[in-house]
Amino acid sequence: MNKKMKTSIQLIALLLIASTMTSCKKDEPEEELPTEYDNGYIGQMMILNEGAFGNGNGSVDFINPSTGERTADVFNKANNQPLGDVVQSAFRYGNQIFIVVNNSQKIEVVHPASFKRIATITGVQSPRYILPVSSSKAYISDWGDNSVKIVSLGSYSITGSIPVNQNGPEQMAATAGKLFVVNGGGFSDDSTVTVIDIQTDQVITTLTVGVNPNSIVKDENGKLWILCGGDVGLDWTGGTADDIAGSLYRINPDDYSYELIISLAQDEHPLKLTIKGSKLYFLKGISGFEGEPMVMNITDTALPSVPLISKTMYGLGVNPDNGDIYGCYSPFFGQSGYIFRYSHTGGLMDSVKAGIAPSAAIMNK
Amino acid sequence: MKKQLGLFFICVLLSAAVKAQQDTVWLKTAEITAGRMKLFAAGVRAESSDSLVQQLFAGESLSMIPFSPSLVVKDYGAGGIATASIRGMEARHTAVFWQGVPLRTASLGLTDLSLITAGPETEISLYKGSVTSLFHTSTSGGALILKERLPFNTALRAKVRAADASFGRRQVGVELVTGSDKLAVSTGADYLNSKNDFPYINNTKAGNPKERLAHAQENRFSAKAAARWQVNGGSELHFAAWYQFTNRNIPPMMIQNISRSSQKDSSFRVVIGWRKSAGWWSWQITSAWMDEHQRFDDSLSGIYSKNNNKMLFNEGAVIISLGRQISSRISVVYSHNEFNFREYNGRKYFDEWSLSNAWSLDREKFRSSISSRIMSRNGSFIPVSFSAGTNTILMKDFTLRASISKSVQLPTGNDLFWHPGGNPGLKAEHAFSAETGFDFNVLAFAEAAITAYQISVDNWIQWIPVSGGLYAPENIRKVNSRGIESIIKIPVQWKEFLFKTEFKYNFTKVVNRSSGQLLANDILHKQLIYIPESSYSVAVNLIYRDLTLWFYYIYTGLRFTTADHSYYLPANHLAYGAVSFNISGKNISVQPYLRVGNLFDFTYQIIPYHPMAGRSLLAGVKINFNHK
Repeated sequence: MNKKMKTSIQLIALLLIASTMTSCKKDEPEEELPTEYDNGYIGQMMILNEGAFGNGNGSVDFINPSTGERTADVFNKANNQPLGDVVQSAFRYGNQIFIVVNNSQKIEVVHPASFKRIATITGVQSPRYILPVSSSKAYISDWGDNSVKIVSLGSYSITGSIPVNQNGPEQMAATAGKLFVVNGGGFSDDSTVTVIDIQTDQVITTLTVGVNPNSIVKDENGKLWILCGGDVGLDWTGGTADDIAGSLYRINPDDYSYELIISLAQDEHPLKLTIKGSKLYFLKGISGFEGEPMVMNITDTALPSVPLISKTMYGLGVNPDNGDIYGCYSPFFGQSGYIFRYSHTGGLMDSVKAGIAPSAAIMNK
Repeated sequence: MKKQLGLFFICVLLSAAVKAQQDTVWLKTAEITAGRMKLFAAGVRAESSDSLVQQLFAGESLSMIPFSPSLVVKDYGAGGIATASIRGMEARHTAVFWQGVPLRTASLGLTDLSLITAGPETEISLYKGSVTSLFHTSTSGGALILKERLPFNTALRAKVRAADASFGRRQVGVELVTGSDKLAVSTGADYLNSKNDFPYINNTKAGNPKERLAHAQENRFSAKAAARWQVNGGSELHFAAWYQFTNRNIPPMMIQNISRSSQKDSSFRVVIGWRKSAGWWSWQITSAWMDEHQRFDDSLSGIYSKNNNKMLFNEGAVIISLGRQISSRISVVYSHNEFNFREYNGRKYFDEWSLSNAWSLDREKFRSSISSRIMSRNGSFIPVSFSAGTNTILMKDFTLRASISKSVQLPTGNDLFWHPGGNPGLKAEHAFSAETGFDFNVLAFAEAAITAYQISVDNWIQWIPVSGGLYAPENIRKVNSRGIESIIKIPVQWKEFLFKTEFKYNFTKVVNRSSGQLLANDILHKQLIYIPESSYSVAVNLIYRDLTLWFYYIYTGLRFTTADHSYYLPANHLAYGAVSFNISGKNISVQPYLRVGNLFDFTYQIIPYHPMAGRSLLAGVKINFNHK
């Protein structure tokens, strides 16, 4: 072999070595994962990170309320699979957590301690919320065909579908043998609540409320509170002349009477109503997608004049043990958000990084 | 991985072991031969596609053709779009030209490579770096230039192609080429039907089931015709027309169960020109008309979208030669772009004028050029773009290249008019770039080149959340891209064997220098999404008499999918192979060939959760009539 050849082989070998080096990776120490037999994530705040639509990077984190430490992407860690997107909502019922993943057209059922998958419910098109009403039956609201799906919790399969004949069935509440489904408008507008008999799965009646109801909770007196976002108008930005104001309704679920109606100002569009004891929490903003955390008592007849926290959030949650408020902050669907923790009086306690587009904080108990 | 490296080693050792000879028939490194590029783009290096690859991939879309690690294709897979990025820039910074006319739609500001097909008579060239001032369209990252070959003095040749491939893919194509000393004509058509129902392991679902891609069928038809006619001394008319339609279903992502999305695209493009040479000066006029329709339906999400882009393009240019060494080109372009989206609240338009002037000095060991362009859109003047470059032969087989440029990237129709969010107050992006490099021969038989570049973009347009769920574009970022590109070509001839090996390596570091976004610190100085830092390719071609073997391997490094690097896709290793054999008769040759895609059956994704096909086989035959 002549000298030229040698040199060329050396050159090529060098190139090879350089290129293969790029694929070398250090092994990371394995994290010890909780099992079903210990407390695992129970008693921690569950953070739902929506993920970016179509990117499959939705996730669930847990924040330990005692230490403030975050455990990221627990579904992926427990099951070695991504959760999908958009992580729309979650509900704990007994020893199961139901995670509704909208664009992935599924509901993952996991163990609350280990987050190991128990089952996956499919057969839905654009699921939004799930509400178990017994150990054998749950309902799923589905934008895909404007229906409420009936789920057998024995087989984790869809056993029926109830058309609501309205737009965008959204959050649900069950009381007095009836299921109340707010119809949030989906890709258009709506202003109704569909009432379904849980025994027969028949639509009993349809109630009219404010424009685009987005959330519903039952208070300790058995009354239903319905938050209506209103409409931001054709310009999508809110705060303009074509806005339709948001509103808050209290309804008696027995006779469907309207006990209280609070109209917000024209450019106020509330969302994400949640309840802890006698206090209602929600976000109020001008865009209809985010807002500042508000708090009011269920005995109040008017909204507070100022928000509890002067920071615009994409979602929120309340620790039922101590009233701490978890504000979900999402700067951009292309990067991680943050969780800001406040005391029940609104004082900032700490903050921690979250996943992509954190949108809700729910106590895992 | 071991298998890939093993094969790679064998190829490398083979290439080095075979004795080199000086009388190689390796084709000269491809340089852009279009007039304005050859004369006025000194200091900038180009790559052109290998003619063998073009034969093997004739009739395929540009996104399917293995080309170069310099061209980063963001491919959504079967049924999805595919866009190109060069030197860390985005798809909107990459221009695609056909017959000298931009294909980028004014509304979207990008070209979907999955809709652009290349026949065996289409020359494809990749121009890296900005040559904005030579064109009417910005090319901050680079440009792909497509040109139909039209040789004079060619007897009538006909080529018929048919292929059957994995996953229900069938394609047929035909080309006719002829040329007298005055008239050259070529025409061709391609039809493709593919189920794209490839199997894949769905690791996003319980039990990692093996699934087949569903709802991914694609139909495509493309017909082209081109002609040039030398009318009389120095005067030439040229014409090209291209009709294409593509109907495709868009499959569900791995994280989904069903999809009801589909997209239909159709386009008609025609270019007519006249050029005349009169001794020391020549002139040319070109007119083009392009009409593109797209319809997207998704009954699941309730999205039904129709859009239409039309463009009238007129260019007049004069080239003057001042002696043997100095040339100048002056061109005036007028284009009218009309586009109609439901989300624009009606039809919008861009009326654009540009005036460009370029000068070149061409001496025996020194070639340099300088060019500038001023432009207006809808009556508003756009800042000047310019470039300057030089090629200097420092010694035998050693040439220095250097160039600088400033280019101006205008906002797209979507940026300005999309409702909601469109921002009519957007400013143009400004990109400053500089590059330098060397072309040299190694050991007298191998060609090599190395280039280092830097691009700095101000007023980078980024869609960001401005109010709740509403996104709007803002001139919010400053982006820096710098990198190194290298290439080594080793041709070896031994007896009747011709062995060609080509290595390309790219390093690209592209980061946000500053951003006015919320929590900007989490994304600053981090590699931009979908741009690999490192990528390289190896192409090996062995020709023995009528037998041809081809192997291509490309490594694409890790790519981040979120701006803060919280998510990424691992590196991928793709290999292709082909074998073809030529059986020649008196007036006919038959060429059966076998092509393998994703040779090592590597599981990979280019966009998260959009599955890509594993190993695929394509068996085809080409029949060339009157091939000599």
